[in-house]
Amino acid sequence: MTDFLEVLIKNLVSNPADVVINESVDGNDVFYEVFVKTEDVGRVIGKHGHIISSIRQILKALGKQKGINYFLEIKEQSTQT
Amino acid sequence: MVREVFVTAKNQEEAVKRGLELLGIDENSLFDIEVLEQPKKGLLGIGSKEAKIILRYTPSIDEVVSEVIHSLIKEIPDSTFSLNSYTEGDSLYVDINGENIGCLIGRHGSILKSIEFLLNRIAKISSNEHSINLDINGYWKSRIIFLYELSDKLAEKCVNYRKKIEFLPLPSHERKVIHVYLSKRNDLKVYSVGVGKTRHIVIEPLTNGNR
Repeated sequence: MTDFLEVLIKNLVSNPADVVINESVDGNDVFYEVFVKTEDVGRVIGKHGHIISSIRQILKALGKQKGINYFLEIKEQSTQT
Repeated sequence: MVREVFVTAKNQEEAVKRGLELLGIDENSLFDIEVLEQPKKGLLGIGSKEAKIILRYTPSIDEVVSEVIHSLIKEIPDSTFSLNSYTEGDSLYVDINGENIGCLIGRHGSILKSIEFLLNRIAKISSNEHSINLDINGYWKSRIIFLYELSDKLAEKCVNYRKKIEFLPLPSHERKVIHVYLSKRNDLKVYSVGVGKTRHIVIEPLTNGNR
């Protein structure tokens, strides 16, 4: 799933080289933390969260097939640890 | 999204060739070359410099779309698919046919429309004027035919009985299809009422062309 998120988000942002995706698995739950540059956060979230909710909807549909719950969060790069 | 590779080689031709290999494109595609350093032969290999170049390539919207869809469908277990895209006017039509990809349609095509929305965002960012129309296993085509038939039937009923008629609640992309379709008729007034999931279309007969 990281592949899909990477292709999609790199196409949405203006600094594709600075996109970092962290994956952590906890049983049936998979958490994704996407770090993007501060000026790109809005591009991934979209007006009224339209883009991010579309991505989450697709993840939910794919997760249903595999019995996995996907969680997606967008973070600013400066908060990366 | 612009793809970039940095290559060094003995001479410029070789560097370009290797760069194209890394990008996975052939010589006929459009690409930019930025020369950072010209190669120098030097004396007996002393003081020689390799050519350093950067290759930039902007993939067309077709390629970006197929890349996103490939990576998406790869995530569905045991699925096969074929992608067929064609341009008509300003729109790019993308038809996907395959097995086990029905989960990408969703209720009333909601996930299909989500994917289409994301692809349209990407197309807008790469400054292409294309609008993308996505279809999975012919779902959207058959859905439009159903909506046309439904609105024809209810419009006839509305005009014949001179009665206000309410449609069933539908998502916004389906309501739009009906609005556009019924706006061609001048014997009806079409509008939507309700909020959220209960928002639905209402049609009223017009008397003497009063809108």
